[in-house]
Amino acid sequence: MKIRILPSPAHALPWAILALLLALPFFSGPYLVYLITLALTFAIFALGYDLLFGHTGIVSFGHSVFYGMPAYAIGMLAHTVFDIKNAVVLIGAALLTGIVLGALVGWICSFTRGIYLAIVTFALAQISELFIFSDPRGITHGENSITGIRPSAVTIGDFSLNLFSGVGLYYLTLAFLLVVLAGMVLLMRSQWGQVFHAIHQNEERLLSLGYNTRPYKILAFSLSGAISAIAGSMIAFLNNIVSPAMVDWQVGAEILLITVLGGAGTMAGPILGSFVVVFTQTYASSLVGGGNWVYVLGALYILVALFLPGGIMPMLPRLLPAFSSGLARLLRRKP
Amino acid sequence: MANVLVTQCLNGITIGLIFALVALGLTIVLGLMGVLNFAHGSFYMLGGYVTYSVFAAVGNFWLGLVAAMLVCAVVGILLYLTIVRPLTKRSPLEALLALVGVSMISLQAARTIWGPDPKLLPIPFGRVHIEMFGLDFQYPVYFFVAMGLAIAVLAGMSLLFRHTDIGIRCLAAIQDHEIASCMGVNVDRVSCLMFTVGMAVAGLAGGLAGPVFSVYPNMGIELIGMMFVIAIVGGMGSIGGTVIAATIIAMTKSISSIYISGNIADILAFTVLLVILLVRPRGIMGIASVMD
Amino acid sequence: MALLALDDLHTYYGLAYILQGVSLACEDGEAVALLGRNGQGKTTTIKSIMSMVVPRRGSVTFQGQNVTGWPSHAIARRGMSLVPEGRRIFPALSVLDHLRVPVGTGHADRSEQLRFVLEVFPELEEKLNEAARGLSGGQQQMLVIARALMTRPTMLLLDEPMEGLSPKAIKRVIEALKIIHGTGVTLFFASTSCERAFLVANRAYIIEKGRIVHQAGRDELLGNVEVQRHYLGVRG
Repeated sequence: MKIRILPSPAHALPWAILALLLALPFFSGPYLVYLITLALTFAIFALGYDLLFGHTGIVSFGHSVFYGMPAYAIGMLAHTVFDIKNAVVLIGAALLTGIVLGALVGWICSFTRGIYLAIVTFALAQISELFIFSDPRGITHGENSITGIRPSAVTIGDFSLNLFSGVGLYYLTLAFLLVVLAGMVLLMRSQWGQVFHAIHQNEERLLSLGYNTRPYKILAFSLSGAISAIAGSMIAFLNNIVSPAMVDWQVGAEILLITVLGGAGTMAGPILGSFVVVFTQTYASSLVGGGNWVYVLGALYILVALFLPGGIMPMLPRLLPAFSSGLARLLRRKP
Repeated sequence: MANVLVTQCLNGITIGLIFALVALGLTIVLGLMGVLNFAHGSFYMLGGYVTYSVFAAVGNFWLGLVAAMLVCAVVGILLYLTIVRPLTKRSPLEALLALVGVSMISLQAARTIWGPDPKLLPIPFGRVHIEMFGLDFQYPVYFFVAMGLAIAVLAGMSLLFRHTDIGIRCLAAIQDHEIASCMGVNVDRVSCLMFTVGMAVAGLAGGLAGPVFSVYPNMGIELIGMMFVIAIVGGMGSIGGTVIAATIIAMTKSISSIYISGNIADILAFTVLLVILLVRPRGIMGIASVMD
Repeated sequence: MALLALDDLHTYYGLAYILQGVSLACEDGEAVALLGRNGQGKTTTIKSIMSMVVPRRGSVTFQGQNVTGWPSHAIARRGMSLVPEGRRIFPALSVLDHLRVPVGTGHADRSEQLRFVLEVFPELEEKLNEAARGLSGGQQQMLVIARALMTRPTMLLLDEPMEGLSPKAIKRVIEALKIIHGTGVTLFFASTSCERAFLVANRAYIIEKGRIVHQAGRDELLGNVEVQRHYLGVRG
C-alpha cells in the first residue's frame, strides 16, 4: 500500500512557487527583484485583461487605457497638478480612474460587438493617447514623461515601511497579485462569474432567456479596468515615471499576447504568460544584443499564433504528469 | 492668407489620395477576410524604403516606385500563404496576433538595415507658379503628379471591381463569401490576389509619400490607426467611400493644422470613427461584409 | 448509378447532432423533394451536400465522385448548384453582376447561358442594372435561381424555394423549375409543403429528427393523408 507522505508534486507546485517568491529578496540582488516585480505587475494586468477576454469573451484592443490613464492620474496628482505623496490616495485615485473609465468604455462598447467592438476600443486607446500628447494646460507633459513619482513611506508609529520602492514594492505587488487572484477565483465561482461565462459561451441564448447583459458587460469592463489600474500604479511606482508609452496601443497588443500565450480563461495562464514575456524580453536583449529582442518577441507572437493558440496552460497537464512522476520517482529513491 | 489655405487644401488632397491607397488595401482585406491587417503599415514602410534604395542606387525615383510595388507584391504573397491564410481559417484573432508580430519584426529589420534616421527623398520636378483667381504662390509639380498617379490607380481598381469578372467576384465574396463559394468562386484565390494587390498598392503609397514625409522606420505604424479610421468610415469594399473619407480626413488635418494642434484634429477624427462604428458600422458607402 | 447519393450522413453543428444517418439517392433527370417539418434536418442535408457544413461521417457521391468535404467551389464547378434558403442575394451587386459571378463548368457559352436564363426569367431582363436589394421577394428568388443556373449545372439544389413568396411568385417559380427540369437539369429541393413540392417533383423523401423515415412517389404520397399528417403536420 502506498502511503502518501508528501502531497503530489502537481499540487505542491503552486505553494512551492509562492514560498520561493516570498523568500526571493533574501537571496537575490535588486535587479532580479526589480524584474520579478515587473513580471508580477504584468501578471496583475493580464489577469484583469483576462477577466474580459478569457472569461467574458470580449476582445479589447484598447486596454492601454486602463493601464496608462490611471498611471497618469497618479502622475498628475503626485507631480503636475498637485503634490500628493500619500500612496493610499494615489492608488485609490488610480483605482477610481480605472473603474470609471472601465464603466464608460464598457457602456460605449455595449452598443457593439465582435471586431467592431475591438476597433472601438482601439479608437478609444488612440484618443486617450492623443489626449496625453496634446498636454492640456501642461498636466500630462505631452511627449515627455512625468518623472519623480515617489510616494512617501507608510509610517505606523515609529516604524516606517517603504512599500513603494525596491523590496517593499516587491511585496506590495505580490500582495496585490494574491488579492486579485483570490478575487478572480471567488468572482468566477459567484453568480456574476457564471453570467460572464454565459455571455462568453452564448450571449444570444442569455438574451433570449430574458437576461439584460449590458450591466454585466459594463461590470466586467469596470472590474477589468480596476485591476489594470492597480497594475498601472505599481508600474508608476516601480519606475518612478509615467510615460506616453504606457498609453500606446501596443501595450494593449502586448497584454493580449501575454494572456493568449499563457492561456486565456485560466487563473495561472496570465501569470505564466507575463513571466515568459518579461523574461524573454530581458534575456533576449542580453543574448542577441541591442534592439534585437524585438525579433524574439515578434517571433513569439507569430509562433504562439501558429502553434499555441490555446496558450501554454492547457499544454501543462500533458507536460506536468511527466514532470511530477519523474519527481516522485526521484523522491522515492531518496534513502 | 488665401494662398496658405489653397496650398494646404492641395496638400490635403494629395495626402488624402495617398492615404486612400493605403486604406483601400486595408479595407479590402478586412472586408474579404475579416482580418485586421496590422502588418499593412509594414508594406507602406517597405515600399518607402525600396523606393529610397533603388533611387539611391540608380538615381531613378520612378523605377523605385515600380520596384516597391513588385517587392511588396512578392512579400505580400509570401505573407498570405505562410501566415494570413492558415490563421484566418482558424480565427481572425490569431491572425491579428501574428500580424502584430510581423509588424514588430519588420520595424526592427528596417531600423537595422537602413538605420533609425529618416531618409530624405528629393522632390522630383520643380515648382510651378500658380497665378489665378487672385492667388499667387509656388507649388511643387510633384504633388500634382502624385495626385494623378493615385487617381489613376484608384480609378483602375474601381474598374477592376466593377467591370471585370474577378472584381465582381471579389465584391460578391466580400458580401457573402459562403454563397460566392457555392457559386464556384475560389474565394481563397481571390483573397490571395486581392491581398497581394492591396500590399503592392500600399508599397506604392509609401514610395509616393517618400518625398513628402521622408522615409523612416515608424512611418507605417504611426499611420495604421488613422488608416483603420478611414477604412471603416469610408465603408468596406467601397473605393469611392474610402477616397472620400481619406480626403476629408487629410484635408481636415491639413487645414486645421493651421489653426489648432494636430492632436486635436486626430482626436476629432477618431471620435467620428467611434460614432460611425456605433451607429452605422458599414460606413459611408460600405457594403455588408464577412463581419456582419 | 445515381447522379447524387448520400450514404449514412452524420452531421453536427458544434455539439448539436443534426443528421443522424441520412441516406438517399437521385437519378439523373429526376426531380426529387425532401420533405419535413421545420428543424428536422432539411437545410443541414443540403448544406452537407454543398460542404457548407462538413459531415463527420458518411459520404456524398456526385457523378460517381466522392465529394464529401470538398471545398464548395469545387463542388459547384463539378456541376452542382445551390439556391440557398433565404435567397442570400449579394445586396450591393446589380442583377447582371449576380449573373456574372458564378464560375461554371465551362468557360465558353456564357452568353448563351445568359440568354437561356433570361428566357426563363424575362422579368429579370429589364432589371439588369438594378441593385439586387431593390427587387421584390419574388424577383429576388428568381434572381438566385438564375444565378445558380449560370454555372451550367447538372443538378440544382434548392432550399425552400417557395418560402415567403406571394402566390403569383410561387406560380412563376414552379413554372421556371418545370422548364429547367425539362432541359435535363436534375432537381433536388427541400420543402415543407407536400402539395407544392409535387407540382414539380415526382418522388419525395421525408426527413424527421435527422433521419429519412419515408420515401414515396407522388401519387402514393399525395393520396396518403395519414402519412402527410404524421410527418408533415398537414391536416387532411
